[in-house]
Amino acid sequence: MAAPLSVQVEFGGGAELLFDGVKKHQVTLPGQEEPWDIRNLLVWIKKNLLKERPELFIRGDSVRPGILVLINDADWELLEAGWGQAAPGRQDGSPLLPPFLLEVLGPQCLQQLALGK
Amino acid sequence: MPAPRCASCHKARAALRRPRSGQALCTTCFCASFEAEVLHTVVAGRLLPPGAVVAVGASGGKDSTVLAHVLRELAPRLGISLHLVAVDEGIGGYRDAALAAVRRQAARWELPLTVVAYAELFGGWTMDAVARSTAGSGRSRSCCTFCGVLRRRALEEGARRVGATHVVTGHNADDMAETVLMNFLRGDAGRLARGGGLGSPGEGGALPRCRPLQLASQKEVVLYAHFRRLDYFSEECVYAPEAFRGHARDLLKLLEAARPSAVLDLVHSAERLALAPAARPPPPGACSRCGALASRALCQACALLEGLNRGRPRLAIGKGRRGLDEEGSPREPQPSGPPTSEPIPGF
Repeated sequence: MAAPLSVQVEFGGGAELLFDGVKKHQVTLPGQEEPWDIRNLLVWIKKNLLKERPELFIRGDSVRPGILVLINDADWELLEAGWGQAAPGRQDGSPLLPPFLLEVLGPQCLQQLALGK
Repeated sequence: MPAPRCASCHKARAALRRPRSGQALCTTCFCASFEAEVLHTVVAGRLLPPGAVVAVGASGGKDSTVLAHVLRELAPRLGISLHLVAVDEGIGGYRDAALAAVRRQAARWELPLTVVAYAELFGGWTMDAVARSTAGSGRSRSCCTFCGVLRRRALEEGARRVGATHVVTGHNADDMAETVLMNFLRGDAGRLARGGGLGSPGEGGALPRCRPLQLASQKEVVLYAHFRRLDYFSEECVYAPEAFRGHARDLLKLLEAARPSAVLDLVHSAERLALAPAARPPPPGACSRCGALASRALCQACALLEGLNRGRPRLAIGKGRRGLDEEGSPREPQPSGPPTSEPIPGF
């Protein structure tokens, strides 16, 4: 059982184009059964913040290759032991602990947007 | 899982792992390491000797922003002076915003800025006009073929105007690796042969060119810009970039996820290639119209413009150049691929 959690999410490097151009989002994740971790945070972001082209943001269980994710200013690959595409067997991320800043930088988004794919 | 300690200073928490070495570094040590690597690239390759007047291709994008920022930090140590050169392709809306970013940067860094416009250099042909001209031929993406070639020429011209001795562009390891993949996939031995190495020495009167960020992966460039809070322009060109590079990029990203050093390894492999004698391209001559380096009678830029001016924009695109009335047929054997150029992704 997870209590509501306050998280700051920032998009940059072009990723903000998928979120109506809004870079900073202060969100409160609702209380729920499962503890909040990166995986379900991403799902929540896709459902509640993402405005267009989900395929440019998410691929399978993780973000699309080329998109960078920072958790409290550190590369998530460092923290999550390569969670996501490099370790496809891994199911859960570490639980999110406040203070929590998620930053998504997405240079790869742009080329794909322009390609009209 | 808490972040490990920085492998360099052992004090701060690590922020990332460098792709090549796997070393975990904090933001401060990473930025220092990034800058030291660029310095080493330039010094070891003798790319920018003391006294060089360096024209920096500035698009306002992340690569050229990082390039200009780092070179500016290193300039006193290298004994070079910098001059920003921005190319205005004449793409309404998009380029204005990008140029505004470059102007902000020039003011903040106190660097001289020169803007060179396609309209002025190429007889009124802006990219918007080229796109309209090529749209009728059914393949709108071919306007990007023009842009890559013309932008290179425009940057060269801008560099000359400011009295530069060298030209630098912000191509990173990912750009280089994508180009290597594309050249392999298209069997373009000529470009594979020319593509390796850190810079072009400047044959045929062209200014020497190099890419100091060549050994930095795109991810590191983005993170460096992020940690240093650099202001850059991150929207993409309104005209669709060539589809093929997109495929190479996707493949590269998948490879990188499985093996982080793959990007750099690919670039190093290409540098070490030796072509079989039959595959080597013929020595280039000079363009009959403008004197620039060319492997045929007309250089790419002149051939493309000729097609545009005749109202037949696709004239110089593709494997042949029928109708251009060039002197002599292509030399036997024909090792090089089509005369098209992949759009160079930004500076």
